[in-house]
Amino acid sequence: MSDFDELDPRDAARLREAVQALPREVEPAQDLWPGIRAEIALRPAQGHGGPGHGGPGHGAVRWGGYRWLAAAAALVLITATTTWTLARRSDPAGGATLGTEFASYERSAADLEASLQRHRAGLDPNTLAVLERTLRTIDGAIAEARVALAERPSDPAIQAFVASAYRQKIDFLRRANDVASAIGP
Amino acid sequence: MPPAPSPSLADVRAAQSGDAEAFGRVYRAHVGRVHALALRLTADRARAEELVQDAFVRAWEKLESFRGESSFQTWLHRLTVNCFLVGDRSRRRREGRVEMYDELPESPVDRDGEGLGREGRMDLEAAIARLAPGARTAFVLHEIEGYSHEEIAAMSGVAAATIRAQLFRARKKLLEVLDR
Repeated sequence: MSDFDELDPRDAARLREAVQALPREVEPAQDLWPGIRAEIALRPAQGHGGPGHGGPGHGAVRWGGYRWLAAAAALVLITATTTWTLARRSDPAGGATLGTEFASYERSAADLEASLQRHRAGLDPNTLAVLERTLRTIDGAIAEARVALAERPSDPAIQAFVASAYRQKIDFLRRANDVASAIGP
Repeated sequence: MPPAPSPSLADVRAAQSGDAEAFGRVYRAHVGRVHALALRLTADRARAEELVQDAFVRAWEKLESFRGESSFQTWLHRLTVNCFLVGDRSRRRREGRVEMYDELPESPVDRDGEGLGREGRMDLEAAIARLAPGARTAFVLHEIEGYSHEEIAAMSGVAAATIRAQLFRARKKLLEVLDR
């Protein structure tokens, strides 16, 4: 396939020889499979099952693929911000107390965090760092919104934002649990 | 790192049925070659690893489209090249650069001697990494991976004549390095 036509034949031979001497394989410095395994657990492939189809129990103890967590975190923030903006814009009437609903969210989140805690040993430090940073971000947003809600308890925009932030946290924790249980020990 | 097991079409078929463990064996069998390709295309270790991950994730998603008409390695390498070209186009758009296949200067490090080996001779691998991006892509795909000018042109959206010009420049540059 090579065409060194425009080169001096000796130069072409030297270059061809040098190319052929290049290594055909170069192993990456780190094992990339755990990250790939984590990502494909979340992605349906054409013609076969959905996320997690490969099934758990393969014994992975490291989890390098944490990019999805960053993406999920970004999604959480974008969605929460959008919800906040829309809620402020629409400013719907009402103002029913949502304390019971929020308490329910908190119980669900606590259960999911406890479940995720059981998989900590199987997650690598980078993954844990992203996970914890994301949760801190979501919790920070919830806390700020709860302070605002305490000041204006009947403000429907703030109520909607708090509820949305809780739902995002639960969704994030569910997905983290799905992946951790699929690839964890 | 343990030696890669032999690639098995049975593993590819099992992976097509959703067996992630079989896909793991496919990964082990092919990652060395895919990573070598990625390193040469990107000239950057972190980007190469990211490209390898993207390529295998994409391969998982597209496995059903592998019909066995070419070897699995050929199919996987083409997919890797496509991931690289698509990612590179996006990156250049983000960076506001449009001249990949035209006049980007080579890195100055190949003029001040950095990267030379013990005997004062830069090895070809390092020299390829120091080519301008377009020339590097053309050289790697044509001279190492065996794609024709027309195939590279079709995949990259660049005229075949431009590919030939890039190849000419790359060869001259690499010969200069070999002559040192």
